[in-house]
Amino acid sequence: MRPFKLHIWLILLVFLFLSCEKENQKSEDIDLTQIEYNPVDFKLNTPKHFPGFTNPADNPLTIDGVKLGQHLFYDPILSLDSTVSCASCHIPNKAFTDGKSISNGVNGLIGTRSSMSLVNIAYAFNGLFWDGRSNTLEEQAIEPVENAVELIEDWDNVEEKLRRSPKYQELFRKAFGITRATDINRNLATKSIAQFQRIIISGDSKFDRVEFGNNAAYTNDELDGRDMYFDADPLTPDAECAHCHNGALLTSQQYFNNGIESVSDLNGFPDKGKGGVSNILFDNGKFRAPTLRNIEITAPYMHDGRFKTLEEVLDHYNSGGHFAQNIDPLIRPLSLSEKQKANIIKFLKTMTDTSYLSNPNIIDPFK
Amino acid sequence: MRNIFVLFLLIILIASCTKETGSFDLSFKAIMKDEPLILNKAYEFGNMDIKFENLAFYVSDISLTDKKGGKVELADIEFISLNNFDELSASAGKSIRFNDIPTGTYKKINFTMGVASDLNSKTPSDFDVSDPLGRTDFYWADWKSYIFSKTEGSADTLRNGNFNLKFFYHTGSDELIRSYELVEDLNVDENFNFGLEIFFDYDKLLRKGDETYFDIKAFPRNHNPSELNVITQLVNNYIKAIKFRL
Repeated sequence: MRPFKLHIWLILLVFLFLSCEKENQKSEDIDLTQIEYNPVDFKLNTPKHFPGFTNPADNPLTIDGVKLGQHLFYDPILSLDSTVSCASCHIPNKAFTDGKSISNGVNGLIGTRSSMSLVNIAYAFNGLFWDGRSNTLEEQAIEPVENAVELIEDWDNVEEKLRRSPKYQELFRKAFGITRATDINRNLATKSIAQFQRIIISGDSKFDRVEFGNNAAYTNDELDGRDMYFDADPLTPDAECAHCHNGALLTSQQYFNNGIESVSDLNGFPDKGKGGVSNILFDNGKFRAPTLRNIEITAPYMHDGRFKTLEEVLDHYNSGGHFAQNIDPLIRPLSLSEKQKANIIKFLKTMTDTSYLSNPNIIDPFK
Repeated sequence: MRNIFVLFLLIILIASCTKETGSFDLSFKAIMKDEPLILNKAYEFGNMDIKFENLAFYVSDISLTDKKGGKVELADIEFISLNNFDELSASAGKSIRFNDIPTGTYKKINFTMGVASDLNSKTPSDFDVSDPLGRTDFYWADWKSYIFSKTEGSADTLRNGNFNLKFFYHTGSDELIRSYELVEDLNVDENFNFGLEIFFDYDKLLRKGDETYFDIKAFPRNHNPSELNVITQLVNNYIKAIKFRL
């Protein structure tokens, strides 16, 4: 009786082993060539008054590439426990920010900085993130997955999860023409996320229509704010805004110390920002000037979300900020009255445009 | 035999038609007190000390002219940043290599400090964001002009170690375009890279007509189109501040 039982157990064990092996093989070797691959260019309509941007030659926009990126962007499959997606920190109706001072990752872990808007991110150059540490959207998309306070996942695991998913097998096949499930990899995943991000275009705010379309008009208060913002009228104070937030994109894409931190010397910044990347002492405490497009709906403000309202932001700039050796020379006491500050805020609110929310290629495909 | 002869002639003909080309290096360097200018380093400036923090400018319409008057366009526009924080990078400056220049001896080089008016009539939206002229931080909408140059820094007016007076001079608008030429034999050879260094002496750039230094304390900033005195003086000083070395 006893030897027989052992024999049965051995057979069962071998059977179990073989069935596992077979299961692994199944997820690894799936032929995808039966799924149609017919790449079609994604026609991106960009506002006429915007500058151009160069799409990477090795990652052209296609309808299926964008669709795959859209799914990956909103899918928590990229995170350790399937609770956090890119969209958790980049929420569409907040202009792809998250409304928090500091963003949260898996298990509510607190990050280090505030989420940046992704609107018009296709036009970003001179570095991505607040400190400019990534050069391209493709390169940028790699990082959050393995970041220890964001998605906390391993790209090897993500690749495996995606390879096992019939839905993603089809989406990757259609996007990139891969022939086997094992061809799914992080490189293609980040390429598609970058494609999706490049179609998040906003250029139809009242600001756009007045400044570039000549088919709208500011109120008197907005116009007064505009004059101070752009230093357009010698009779109004120069609020110095447009030096860093200018052009149709409302950002100069440069890095500045805007005087928000009180430090005794350039080593004293709690977050070194650009200096942490360039290793140049004079860059410490400098951060990328974000776009002011949709600034009304992207509170709180600054890289650490320290200002809850636009009123607080205006109070800061009106004060002249904290002096530091590398403070931007345009940060100085402005002597703006309450009415003037309020008018600048009214002007800032003309930069709101959420028309992209009606674009089915941009919103959450799972809803 | 006859065919070989024809082929030989053909090869000679093709070879003679192929124009020999070489490259030409242009290096832009900032100096102060005859030394490489290092950002964030204190320099004596009359009765105060100053530190430079941002030095950048546009150069447009760079061309070589040969002895027969033929012109070779090198570049429509270049953005030059001379923001160097150490001796090594300050000595190196910003170099640009122009390739495929027909070999020969050129008699002069021409360039314009600022953005030539045909390009200055455009706006950053007319260009790719990564193009030198796509930079919105170097465009001032109310001037309807690119900012041709930025000279920024801080001053210690009391010489007590506190560089707490920020200064900046931004130039721009068509009337502040200045063109220069260096008449000199410039050889472009296919076998070696010919180079020309162009030095910008900021000690000479920030001086008034009487050769005394700008009064930074009284006029620490200028980017106002209705107050062109200081920045007009600055662009007029290029003629004294720009030096060449072959």
